[in-house]
Amino acid sequence: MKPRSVNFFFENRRLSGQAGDSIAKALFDAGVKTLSYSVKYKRPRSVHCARGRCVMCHMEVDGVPGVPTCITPVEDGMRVRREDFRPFFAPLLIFAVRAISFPAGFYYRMFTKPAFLRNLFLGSLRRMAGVGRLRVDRAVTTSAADNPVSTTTLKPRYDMVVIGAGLAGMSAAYSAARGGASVLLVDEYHTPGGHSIGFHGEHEIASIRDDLVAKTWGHSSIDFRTKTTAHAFYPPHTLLLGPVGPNDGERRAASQSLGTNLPRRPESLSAMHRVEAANFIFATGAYDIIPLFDDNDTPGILGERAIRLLIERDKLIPGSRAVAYGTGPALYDLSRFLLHHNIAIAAVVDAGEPVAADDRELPNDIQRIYHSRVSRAAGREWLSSVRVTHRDAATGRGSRDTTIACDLLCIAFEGQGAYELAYQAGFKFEFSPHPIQENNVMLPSTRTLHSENGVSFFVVGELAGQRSWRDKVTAGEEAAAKTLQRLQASEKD
Amino acid sequence: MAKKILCHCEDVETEELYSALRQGYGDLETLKRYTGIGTGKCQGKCCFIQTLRLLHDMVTRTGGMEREATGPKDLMIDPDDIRVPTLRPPVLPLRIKDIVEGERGEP
Repeated sequence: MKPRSVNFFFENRRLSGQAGDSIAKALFDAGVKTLSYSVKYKRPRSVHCARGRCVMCHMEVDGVPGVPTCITPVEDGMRVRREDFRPFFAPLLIFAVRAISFPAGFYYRMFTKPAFLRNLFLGSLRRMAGVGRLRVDRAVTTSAADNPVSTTTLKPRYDMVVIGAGLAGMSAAYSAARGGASVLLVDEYHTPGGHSIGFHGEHEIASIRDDLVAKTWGHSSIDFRTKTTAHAFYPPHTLLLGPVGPNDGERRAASQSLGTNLPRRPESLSAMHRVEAANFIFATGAYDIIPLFDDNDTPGILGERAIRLLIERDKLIPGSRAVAYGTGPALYDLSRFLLHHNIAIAAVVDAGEPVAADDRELPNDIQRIYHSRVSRAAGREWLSSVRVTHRDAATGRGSRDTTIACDLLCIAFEGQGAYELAYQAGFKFEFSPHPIQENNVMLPSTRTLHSENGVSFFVVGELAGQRSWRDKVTAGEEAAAKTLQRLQASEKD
Repeated sequence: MAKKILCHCEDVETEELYSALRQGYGDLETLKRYTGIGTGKCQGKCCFIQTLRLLHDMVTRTGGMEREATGPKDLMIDPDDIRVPTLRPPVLPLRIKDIVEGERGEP
């Protein structure tokens, strides 16, 4: 079926895109790659996390600032513009601002007296930041059109609540439901599957994910809610759920979905909900972390999760010649994924040792550089090349630089778990040092927690540092088994 | 001019963090207040871990080549300060409308 085409406005231009595509994809197709300019230095920014988490793709859509365009579907008549403050002398201003260095804490020190100067200064700073202005009527009023197609509610109490419908979360929900527990499974996005959406290195993963989706989606004991955000956890046992973020396109998206063929059903919440349970499973996954090097915010630098989502979910191919950078099996898995999608690989830059088992599946003609780090990215509006510094194994210092032309830098280091909710539930997160600094992340000190109020918590999946699909599925099953034991014990009492 | 961006939301470079460290702000909570890291729209989803890595490198002196070259060397950082800051609700931005409307679906 040919997708319906839609017309929308980008600043003063009239563009067309395809219904069901994200705004970012429609803009990329029309050749617009710079989606925003950064707050302070006005650096060009483009899609970055592909998950609506970061700010790089935030634009003003129909008068509402801060809309994550990477996950918002494009629609007929939509008015999209960059949020930046743009007077007629904008180019000059941007040129000037980029050259300024803003010392740490400058706004605490400059123009603090007299008061009127202070107010003027702060006011100008806010305008220069140009993060958009939300009209009051847009923020608080509701009209009939604002409400989703169906108003759904949740039960106030479940045996088990699972946050995050990735491999670990779905496997936990399915195992628990099979054992007779009533389960609420929530996921923020349209499409369940978490980051397993894009995995290609082992084809099994896609089939395992599809299998889990099929099992959980229609299960009578599982209340499966996508497009539902877990906003906060309040001890001892209350979870606050709500409609998905500040995404005005979402209400209109009720009749559309991005990249999923699942049957439609009432799924999006229309208001905030409080849910209680005696067992919580946190399967919130992880974020890509882009390492620190010169100009590491250049558009075209993407984490492995983002690139997989962009290509598989949105069919957005952001570049044609990539440098894959990272370490461990994930790097080679990512390289194979890129090749599979006809993206040429200029080089594989490994921060660590060569591991034969990892890279033997890559074609031999691909350049591999070991013990090296990307030390600089170049490019004005989009990445044009990266500088790779080879680290001398004996001295540990940078010794040799190579410049590699590319229009994508794909990064496969360890992701940082989305630890906010688990932290609020009482988990302690500890810094876990790794021989390769870029892999240092915060991990929970324990994977299970029993509060004195008789509530149990489990962390599973990438949040608990599990990278392989087998570990994730097993961890989900184990957490479910423990939950079922607890439920049986409490029934006996 | 090349910049290493630590916090994308608030455009904080590593140089600003080093400068704050030199001024004696040595733990994540005060660095956050002084430099603005983690106070943007994403609430520290990327930059907290980056900052902790830098602090950790300074404590253990195992920094990568870039950091050794630019980071201050004679700082006293308490290893116990290398931890997650307080993470308050809500986890993600939410619409004022949703708060104003309050809660539905209560029994």
